Amino acid sequence: MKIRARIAGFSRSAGLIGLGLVVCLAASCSLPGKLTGERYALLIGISQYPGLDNDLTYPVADAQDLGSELANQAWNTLVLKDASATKEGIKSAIKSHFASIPKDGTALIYYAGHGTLSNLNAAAYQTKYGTLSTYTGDIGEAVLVPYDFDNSANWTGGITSDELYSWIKELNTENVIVILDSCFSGGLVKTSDAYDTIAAEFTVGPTNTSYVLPIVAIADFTDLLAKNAEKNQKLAPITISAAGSEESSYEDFPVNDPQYLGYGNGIFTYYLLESIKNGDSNGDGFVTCTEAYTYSARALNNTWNKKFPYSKFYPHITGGLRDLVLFDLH
Amino acid sequence: MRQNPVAPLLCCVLSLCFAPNGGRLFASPGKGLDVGGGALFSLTSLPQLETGLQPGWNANIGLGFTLLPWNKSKNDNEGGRTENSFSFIGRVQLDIFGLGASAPQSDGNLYRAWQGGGLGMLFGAASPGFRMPLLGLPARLGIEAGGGLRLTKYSGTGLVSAHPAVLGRMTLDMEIGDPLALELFLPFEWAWKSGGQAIIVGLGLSLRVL
Repeated sequence: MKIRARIAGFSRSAGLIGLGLVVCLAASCSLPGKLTGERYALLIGISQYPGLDNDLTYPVADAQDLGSELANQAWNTLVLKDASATKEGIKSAIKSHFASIPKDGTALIYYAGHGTLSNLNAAAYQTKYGTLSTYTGDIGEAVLVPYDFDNSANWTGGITSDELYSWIKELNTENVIVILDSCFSGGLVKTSDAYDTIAAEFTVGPTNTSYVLPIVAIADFTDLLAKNAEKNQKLAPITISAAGSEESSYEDFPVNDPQYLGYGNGIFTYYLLESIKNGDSNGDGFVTCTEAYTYSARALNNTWNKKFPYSKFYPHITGGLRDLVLFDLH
Repeated sequence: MRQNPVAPLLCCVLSLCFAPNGGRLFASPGKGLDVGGGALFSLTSLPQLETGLQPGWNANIGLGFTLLPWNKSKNDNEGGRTENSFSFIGRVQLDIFGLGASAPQSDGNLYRAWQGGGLGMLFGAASPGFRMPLLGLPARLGIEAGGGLRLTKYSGTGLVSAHPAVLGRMTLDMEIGDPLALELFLPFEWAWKSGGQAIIVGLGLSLRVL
């Protein structure tokens, strides 16, 4: 009787410990933590470039729309638009707006405007991405086009990825999100330990969608293992680009144009904004960068790319194990 | 008359536990093809971040083999049966698995969901066969360790990476009828991934054809 009682007691204790363990595991898997870090966002939108030939319609609206959504979620936002978004203006805004960001804070830099291919590092660029049969301009490193861009000065007026990430490197935090809605924006994405199986120039097919099986990367297996072994002292920013390094990013027609499609934004930014409502795939009240990317890329591919197969493009994302919360829905 | 609805089920379990099963013990430890799967979780960490917990699943197909019996009876050399003893075993296994995202930490960082597959080779030892208490089934315990290579894709993205891993596996094989065995296993994996580490443990069940 005594032994049985002891066994029963042991079973009860073990059961309670086991139940507690399962509850703890389930809780830590499913219950989101509360975000306490400060969040700062710099939103750059350039619709009006000097002269009339190069103007865009929606970049300022894109920056403002995303900025107001982020402000509603307690981000400290600053919108830099048109003439104030010169190269020096962008550089100093990155420095000043994020000056007081704490180490556990999150910095977001959003850019909507022109992007182009320069003649910088053309040989290296073409080795990496190949040449574009349909593109007649320079085929070199991609650059962002600030308001005061002047390509006569040997492309020094553009913002290269090295310049952008050297400014970001100075920030006090490693929690950095970069979102680029411009043509060729994939060319400003820093490579990571992972191989991006989405082609630089999107074509419809099984190897170029986000559903692609890892099996296609077997040919690069040894390279991937070598990259995996590289040690990084700092966490790389998570960068989302609207388009590949050889693609244009598109925006809607003006509202008064008969061809207006109802987006009222850049196409990628439209779906990025829509991911606030629809992108929380696991229902935890947070839309992470990966969730926002996945939602917008798939939505864009299922709508825009089907409707305009000759103007198709596909967003890209960087990074490895680490993800960051982009939208907090609580 | 009212009947307890649990009674028929209890009768079945008791019959299984105490059913006579002949005198034979485990026929061929480690040998055979198995297919199984289970639940797992990963304690994932990057040096700059807190550890996160990622729930997941795995499925695998394995080919187990006996390298050599630890002890052989005299009869064995004369073409007789192998003595019921410890044995060295090995296996080659093909895995597919998926891990969900971790919960966000207070600074907004979290670990991405990933899925993938890999090949592993493990070596170890199996205990002599014994009869399971209560169930009365021929059984044996095994423990194996080895290494593997993994190819993974971060869920929802096109990002693919590869990493090495140390693999481990504890098993309890129960022969449920010739030529089938049910195997309860505890998989273990220690992976070096993207500058971080993932320690993966779980619980699974597989069916082995002896």
